[in-house]
Amino acid sequence: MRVKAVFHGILSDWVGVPQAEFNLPDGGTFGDLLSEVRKVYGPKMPPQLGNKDQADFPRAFFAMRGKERLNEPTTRLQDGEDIQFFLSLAGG
Amino acid sequence: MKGYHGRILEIDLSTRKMADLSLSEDFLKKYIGGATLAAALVYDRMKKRTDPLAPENSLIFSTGPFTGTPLPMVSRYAVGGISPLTGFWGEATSGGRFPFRLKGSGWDGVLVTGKADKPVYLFLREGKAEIRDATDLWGNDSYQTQKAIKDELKDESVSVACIGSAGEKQIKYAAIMNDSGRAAGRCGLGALMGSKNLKAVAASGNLRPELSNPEKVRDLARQAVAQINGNLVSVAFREYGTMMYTDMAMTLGDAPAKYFTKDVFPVSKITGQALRQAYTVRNYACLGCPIGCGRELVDFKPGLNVDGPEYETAVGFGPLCMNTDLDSIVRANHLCNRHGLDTISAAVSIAYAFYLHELGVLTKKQVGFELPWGDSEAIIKLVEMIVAQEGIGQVLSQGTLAMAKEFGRDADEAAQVKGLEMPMHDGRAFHGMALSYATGPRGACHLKGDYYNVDLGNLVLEYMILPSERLSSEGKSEGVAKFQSLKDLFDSLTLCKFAPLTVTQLCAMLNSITGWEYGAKELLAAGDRSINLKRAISNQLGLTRADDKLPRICSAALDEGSTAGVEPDLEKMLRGYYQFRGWDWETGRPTKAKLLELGLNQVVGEMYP
Repeated sequence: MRVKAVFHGILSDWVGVPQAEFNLPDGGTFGDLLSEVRKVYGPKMPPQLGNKDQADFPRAFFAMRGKERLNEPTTRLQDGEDIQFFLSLAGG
Repeated sequence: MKGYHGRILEIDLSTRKMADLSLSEDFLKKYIGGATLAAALVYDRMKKRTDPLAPENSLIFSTGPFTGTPLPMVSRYAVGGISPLTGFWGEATSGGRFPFRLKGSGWDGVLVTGKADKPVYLFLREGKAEIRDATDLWGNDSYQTQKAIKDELKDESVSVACIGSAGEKQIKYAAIMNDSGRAAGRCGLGALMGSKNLKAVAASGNLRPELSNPEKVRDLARQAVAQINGNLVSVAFREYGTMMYTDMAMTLGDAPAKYFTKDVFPVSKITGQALRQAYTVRNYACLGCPIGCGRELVDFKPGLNVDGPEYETAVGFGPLCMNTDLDSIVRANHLCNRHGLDTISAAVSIAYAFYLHELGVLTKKQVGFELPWGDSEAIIKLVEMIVAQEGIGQVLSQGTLAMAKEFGRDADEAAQVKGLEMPMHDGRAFHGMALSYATGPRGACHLKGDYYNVDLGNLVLEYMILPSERLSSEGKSEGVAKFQSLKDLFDSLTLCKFAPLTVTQLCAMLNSITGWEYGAKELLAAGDRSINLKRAISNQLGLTRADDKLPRICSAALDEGSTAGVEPDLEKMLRGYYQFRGWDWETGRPTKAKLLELGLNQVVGEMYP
């Protein structure tokens, strides 16, 4: 199945694209998508983010599917979904 | 005593008497420093229902035990007093170099009462204090004032906190400016300074209190710098400043537009990236900060460098007024900095004028020109009119609550809490923020606590403050109360709100500076004490539970965007908050039991005679 990752704010600046599509296995999860994002775009991200290990990597992001926040790597995704990625950091 | 000078310089400008006010270690252990120390001193001296601008009222500049140490991100100071804007407890903080210089002058702070018979400024240098004539400085803007004082004292190391013409005219949201464009912006304490004929406080020197364990402090500082540099906050803010959040905020519905009636607006031209593309941007860092989130725009106009706007200002003069013109936002920010105006209150008041104009309440005849949404030149003109106290500018300079009254509008239309204008994080996008605004110790405050950061994923494990569903009002009360107390402490210690340090680190830092034995529990209790003390001050000035609310304009569900149809359930959150805080639901006051638990015995005596 195909899932789109949409990068907001400076994330898109860092990874160099506003969005990207990924092929995931049927029944793929949010964790699978994070692994793909990390594999493809991790090297383009600042070390403070891109070099985070597998366990810490998700905490750098605030991810949403519609109005639903995605926290759990085990959350199943559906074909054709857009997942919004934000940096988990706000300005003052 | 370690970590403090143990004295505040007390100055009565009416009599020109100066004396040292000794601070005992027990007193400091209880109130720590910064804004909390200021609140403790104000509480001791205040009268009920006083006019905030009455000469007998106190104005306090205060540092904390962290200020001036080798720790990073600690060059902060607080200003406290009764707010001319709200009539309740008021405080503001700022960074730069001034905090180090103030502490280096040999005092932990300055307490000013009275009113000088002509404009003066204070000069503190290594244990010596002078009241100097500022007649020639009156009328100067904040940049001119800082330069003139440095020139007069022939000392480039002097740092100056001053007012511009807004403070001189006692405009209710006048700011105190230091180190070029750093602002202790909120609550109108610049007006309080102006009411005392006090143009500036200049400080110089390098007197540092002894530290309990200097080697440990240096170790902790090294660890903290490494940790900060390895944190996201470092790379994001260093690269794009706080404006890095503008577009994310709009997508999340956190950035308000069209005077809080929309959260959909094209912001691509006013992001941190856009600022970098449009201008030559230099980072500004407060002393000892490894990040440097401040922006300086080089040659904004030929030969003119200006301080760049940060997130609050960009959204306030941008989407809130439906303005996409970045240049005008920079100009409005510069005008506010020059004349010493709080950009948040100024922008919200101007956005309210656009709103009233659209409704036909505020006419072209009253304003002098049309106010179509997004008119960037009108924004600049209105800032100038506020500063000049000219025409409609005089009404706008009173803030939104007074504007609503002036135009016969419902107070629910005034975007403020307790008279302090709403910042640029929408309580509909993070329900914890709605509660935080409603209960904040100085009114609508986005910094204590910045709960949007919690619900974006930044947890505080020591206090089990955990991220939750941002668009839900369930289970927020306890987390918001604890986070407020923790962030309130940052202004006591003093420490930048962006410092990504753990509670365990904060305790270790405080203990190695002072020799005390603060644990996480004691630290949170100190934050609770601070919140309750400030609450008690405002209660004495007439605050009740009825003041713990959000105006409808900022809470009614919007019909589009990421928060469409969602409204925070404030009463539900507030009930839980009151219960957790130990506040009385009927009166809005801390209960006697809570005050006694926190050691606020003096307050008990006065609140429950």
